[in-house]
Amino acid sequence: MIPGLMWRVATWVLLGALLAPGTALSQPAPQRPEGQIPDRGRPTESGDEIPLFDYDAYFPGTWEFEWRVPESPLGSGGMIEGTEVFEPGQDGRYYTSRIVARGPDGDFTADSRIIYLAEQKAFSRYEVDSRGFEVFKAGRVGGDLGGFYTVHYETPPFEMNGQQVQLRMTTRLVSPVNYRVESRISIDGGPFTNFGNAWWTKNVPGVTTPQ
Amino acid sequence: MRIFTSLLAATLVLSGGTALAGQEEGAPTFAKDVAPILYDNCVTCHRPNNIAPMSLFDYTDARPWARSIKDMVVAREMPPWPADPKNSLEFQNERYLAQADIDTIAAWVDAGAPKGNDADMPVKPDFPEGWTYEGGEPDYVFDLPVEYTIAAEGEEDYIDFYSAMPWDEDRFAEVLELRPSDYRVVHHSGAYTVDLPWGTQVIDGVLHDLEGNSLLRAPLPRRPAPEENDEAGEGEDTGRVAQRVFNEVNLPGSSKLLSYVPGRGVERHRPGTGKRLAADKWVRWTMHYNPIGVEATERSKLGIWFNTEPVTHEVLTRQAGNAFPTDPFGSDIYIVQGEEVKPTTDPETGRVRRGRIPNIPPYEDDWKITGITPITEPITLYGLSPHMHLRGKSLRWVVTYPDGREETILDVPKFDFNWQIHYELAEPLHLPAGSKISGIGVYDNSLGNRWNPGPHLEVYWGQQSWDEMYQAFTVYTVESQDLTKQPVTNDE
Repeated sequence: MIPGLMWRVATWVLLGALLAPGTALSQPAPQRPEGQIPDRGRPTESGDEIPLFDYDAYFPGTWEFEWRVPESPLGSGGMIEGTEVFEPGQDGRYYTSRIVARGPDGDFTADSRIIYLAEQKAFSRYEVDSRGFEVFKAGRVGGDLGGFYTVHYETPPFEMNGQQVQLRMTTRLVSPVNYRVESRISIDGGPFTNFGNAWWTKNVPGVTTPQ
Repeated sequence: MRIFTSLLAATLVLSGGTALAGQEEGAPTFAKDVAPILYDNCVTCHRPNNIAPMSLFDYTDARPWARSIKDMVVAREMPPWPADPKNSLEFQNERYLAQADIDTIAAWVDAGAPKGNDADMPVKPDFPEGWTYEGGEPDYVFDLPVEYTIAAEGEEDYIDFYSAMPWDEDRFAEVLELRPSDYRVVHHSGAYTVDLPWGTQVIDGVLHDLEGNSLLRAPLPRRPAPEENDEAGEGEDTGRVAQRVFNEVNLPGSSKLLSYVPGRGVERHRPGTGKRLAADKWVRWTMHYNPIGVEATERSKLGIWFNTEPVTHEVLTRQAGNAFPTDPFGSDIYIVQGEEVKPTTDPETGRVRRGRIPNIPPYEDDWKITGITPITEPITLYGLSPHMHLRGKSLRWVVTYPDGREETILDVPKFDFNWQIHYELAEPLHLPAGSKISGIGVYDNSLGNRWNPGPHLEVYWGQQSWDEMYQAFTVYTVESQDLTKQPVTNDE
């Protein structure tokens, strides 16, 4: 091809790209969030492998949450609402998050350091809560072939307002943009009782989750 | 959004969490005013060791949740009743709080949730051990034959267990309750009256072949078929689908006793009607367990309360879309996204079979299927139950009368897997021959469905909760039947 013709072709291609909506120079459409189960092109079978949970594909971003809690040594009963920002990880193992929230007793924050070891299916999280306690949580990640991953974890006993508290939690990652935390509390060595179920919803442009 | 002022927060902190606010003279108290409301409306579920996550039986149980109780009842999120009352008939098991009761609870919370005098406490409802039905202890209880262990993770196939009917002549159940011992792990379960599949025996509640090999997770033996019908030499399928047909004692729909799914597990039939528990048959327990991340064990119970009056009509359970039970030539009718699923005819046997229902495409948020049952002789309709899985969005039952008039009898606009209630009509509904029952189901496979683990995936029809089901159950009797005037069974 001679140079003059090449220039003319290049010019027309460029003009076409500029004038045509949705072509090369426009922003690519944001990819819709996906679950972590691959498309096998067939129904699941009991021998199918469950992929290891991919933290980096799931958590990083801004999540909003609502948590209706009972009265306890951790504070008054009522609704806690807030935002948690999960930062991308380092080395695919170490992560951080920050909660900014408002509960029945006022505003609070919680900063967390998180370790997720995918191969070991192990999850741990150390939280420093501005309400006056620090808590360590550790647990295991399970899953099913439909894409529901579940983190079961618990804390060692810790002191709050003169009472000994222990928490057990199950985090159900029920959708690419929603997860649910089911929590139970033991006070002064008593039986574990319901500490409320909470929803976290990821802020994704163009996605609205009905409440 | 509920915003609490710092003043209120300070009050709460300073009060040491013992009161929500200053307690007012003359304000409602738990003992006198709130406990009666909770006992009448809430403690069927909210009691120790039942399905609700916390008990509301005692003041010490309810007090920490006072503010949440107020929020939930004022928003009418509790008690749960997913049907739209404006677009449905009346149901005898409707759960609504009267506005006066909501106001009482709100005033109690606003007044600091005072306990009041113990002497004012109402008598606690007396539930039989663990049963939801309030009619006393069951007349008979079937126990799941084994205590089953559910692995922490993976996939659990359906598994069947069998219990022999212990009586010599047919009995009828007016009330049945299917109750898990561990609600967390039971995705759903069903109880059916069946014969044993061909070539099998039951050992310790589990189906075995005649050589003693367990069939718990193995295919059932195939029955030899006449050579002219069996070119492949494989014999006839005797699996669950085939078994269901062969085990209808009288009419299709008699085999199924009831299901347990979250929100459902009790079926109360009217005096003179009941579910047949045929002598010499078996109760098949079809159990679908759900791994919950930790190993668990489960052993369900089936409680039976027998009819006390003579039974004239046998209760049948069928889906909208199924052919009418007494119509030997009827076939299932389904319309998917506006197009009828064409039945297919087996060229060898001439049998008409339902065509394949298409899968639900990725990210589809409003995918519709309608099942239609033409009513070929008069029936009396008693109840309706929705069953869908995680992509279920709504389900609506519509009756079209012979004159063309349409009536929505039940509209569940926001299907919730956790509240699959069995809706019992307040007044049984007579449907004349020439009517149609349509069940209109809608599915949401988009990101807008908060329970959807894989919006990027095509959804298949199947047993697992991540597959889908369409079951618009209808519970009815065929009016021409009178069991007092015919032999009890004809299943020779």
